[in-house]
Amino acid sequence: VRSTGRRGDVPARRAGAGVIREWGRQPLAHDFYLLAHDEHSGRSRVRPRIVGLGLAAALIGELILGEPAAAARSDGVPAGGVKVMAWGERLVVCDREPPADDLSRAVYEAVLGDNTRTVQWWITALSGTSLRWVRRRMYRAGLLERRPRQSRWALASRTAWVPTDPGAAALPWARLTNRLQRGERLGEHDGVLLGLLQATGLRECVLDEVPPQARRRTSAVLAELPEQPALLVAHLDAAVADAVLAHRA
Amino acid sequence: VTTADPPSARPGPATPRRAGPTPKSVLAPDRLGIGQVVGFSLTAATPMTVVAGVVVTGYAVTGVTAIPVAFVVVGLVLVVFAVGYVAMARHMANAGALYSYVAQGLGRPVGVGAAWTALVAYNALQVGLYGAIGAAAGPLLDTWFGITPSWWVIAAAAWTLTAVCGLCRVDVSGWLLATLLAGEIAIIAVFSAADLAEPAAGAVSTATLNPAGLTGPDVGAVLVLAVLGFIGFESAVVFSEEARDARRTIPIATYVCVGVSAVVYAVASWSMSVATGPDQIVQAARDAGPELFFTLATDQLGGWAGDVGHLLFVTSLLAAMVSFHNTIARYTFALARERVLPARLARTSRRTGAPVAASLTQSAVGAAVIALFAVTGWDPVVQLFYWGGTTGGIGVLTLLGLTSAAVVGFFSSPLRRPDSRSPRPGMSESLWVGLVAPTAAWAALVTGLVLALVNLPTVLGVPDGHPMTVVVPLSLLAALSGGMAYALLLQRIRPEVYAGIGYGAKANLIAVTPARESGIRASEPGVSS
Repeated sequence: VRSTGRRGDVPARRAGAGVIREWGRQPLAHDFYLLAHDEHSGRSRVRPRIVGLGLAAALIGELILGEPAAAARSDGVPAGGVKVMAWGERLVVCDREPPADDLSRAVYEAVLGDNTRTVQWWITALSGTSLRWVRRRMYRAGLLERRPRQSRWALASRTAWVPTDPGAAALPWARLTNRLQRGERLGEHDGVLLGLLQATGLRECVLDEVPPQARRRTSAVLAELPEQPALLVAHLDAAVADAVLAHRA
Repeated sequence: VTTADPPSARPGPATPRRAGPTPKSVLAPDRLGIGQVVGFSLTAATPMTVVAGVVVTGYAVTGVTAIPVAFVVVGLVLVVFAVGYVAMARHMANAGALYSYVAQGLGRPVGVGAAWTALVAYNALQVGLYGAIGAAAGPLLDTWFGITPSWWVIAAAAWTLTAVCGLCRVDVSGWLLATLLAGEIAIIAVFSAADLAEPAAGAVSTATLNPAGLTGPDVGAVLVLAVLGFIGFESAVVFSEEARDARRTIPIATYVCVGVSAVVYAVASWSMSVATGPDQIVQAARDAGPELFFTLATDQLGGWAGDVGHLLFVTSLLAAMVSFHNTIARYTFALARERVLPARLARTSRRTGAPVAASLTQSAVGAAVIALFAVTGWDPVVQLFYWGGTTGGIGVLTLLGLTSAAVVGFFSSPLRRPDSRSPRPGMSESLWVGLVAPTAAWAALVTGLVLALVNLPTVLGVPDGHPMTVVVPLSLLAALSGGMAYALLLQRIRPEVYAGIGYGAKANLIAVTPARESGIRASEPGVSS
């Protein structure tokens, strides 16, 4: 049994009022997207299927953490709070007020429509479209732009989704690296982010510039995650492993 | 949070339509029908390998002519087996691997024993294929390029291809396998028709289809061979989460897989015996080896048929090697996730997602065996391919027997009874599904296994007292008891690892999921209510 302290009682907490704007902080899915892709070329660092699983978990994570983007109402009034939670294995809705953000709301309503599925089921079910929807949300927010990709094969011309500002795109990476190096407390958002990186196999390559001593801290951070984020990370971990076991690539 | 009911929210007023993401559009409508599930699970089936390799070598080595009817009988047994198996699969966290059924139904120690047995059996099957590739590709290389390399040179080339495919996660793409499969079945159908058109004595004989042929003491031998043809039918359950109407699709797809295999193999092996005459098939198989299937047909169809057949035999063997290699790698990966094998074997490649550590381990086993046979000069077809195949067959028969017992154990456990306060009401199955069918399948499989072990010299085609008659059962027994002993050790020294046995990819979830409402915990067999 995990000792969760104050943070363990997630559903009771209503985070809306005291949202702390952090340095370069974006919704969880945006941060994960930026970490999972090269900031200059926009290429993904792991297989797209794994990125899709990570983004699906991040979208659920936004609802579990009650993040500002997911929680704020369309009229700008913060109506924050935890929207869904893991109940045993299942993912259930725990707030009547749907989130304001379109994408979060769609995920919220999908979960509302079926409370019998496990967290892992939702991660897998959302993974097929999560990349497309998150990209679209980031494009509308002005974080990504479309650029024709120079293809090695002259015939195929593909569109690359590239961060509009590589410097800003590197901010989540800089924030994580910086905090780990200085031994600062990561907080819930960055803790989950680290968990998502770990489960998708991205931790090693994203944190390659973190000295070994600080990198060892990541295990401690992950072990101290509150119950709800820890469950999310564990379900993502299982979904990624099941993708390895799946017969189709 | 200690409340008994999950918090829930009532659906609010209907949301207005908008062009953005909707609950429906965020979920991929990736739903598989019966045809697709059958396609995915049959891609691992390589009929040409079974017909030209296993059947012909089986005729030659055992001298038993009842092989065609054995395919029918084993097909029927597996359909009965599948009744309880697909029902239990719905409650499995790791539905693709038979050992997790055993862990749930008969307890974790037997489960680990089954897992180790499966690893030995599948490795014997995979490595055995390297022994057949020389005989299959040799004639082609001679005709086309005029070269006659040693069998182990060809085997080494095939090994390289397999190892690279395993590392790059070239799960040989679906359409390629489907094309090969269709080609193999087509050419088997053409060859069989040609064989039936030219019966040996002028009349088509049904002697080898007579069930009376299965009453002799050698029946165990043919049952072991016949089981080999069906491996892979158990994988349809993996697609249950993606299937449309899984409760209907998955059972039907499983039965279709078994049925198609039974018909193809029974007809092909029967038609060969018709073309040579039932009394001559054994001698003909001994004289010609795997070539028999092709020479019989080319007599009537011309040389092109032989070339096409040979080519498909080679591709079939290669596909079987890669697919068994990947199966073993995934098995190893799942066991490493559970920490039943060293956790290091769960390492995957970031780029390709292939379970690289597990794949390299299997490749190392293959390389060692090829080198051993190349150095000692043992016969690649009889001693590597055939003995590997029969060892694998006996192992798989053991595994299927344990699984059917596990189905009975699972559904008859007190938690599963409708009157108990089951944490998942409605889990109980009918008497037929939960007890009668799996018990019948268990009895049939154990009978087959006992017959095979009693007649081991016939199964292996060796004289009484040959060392192989001790080595084969002993290696499987060692794996089974070694696994059980290891699990009991884990129970004492690493209870948290022991708790995750049988959950495959989800093993880590056990540690973090709170006990409330947890389905994966609810399906533990040992918990009393």
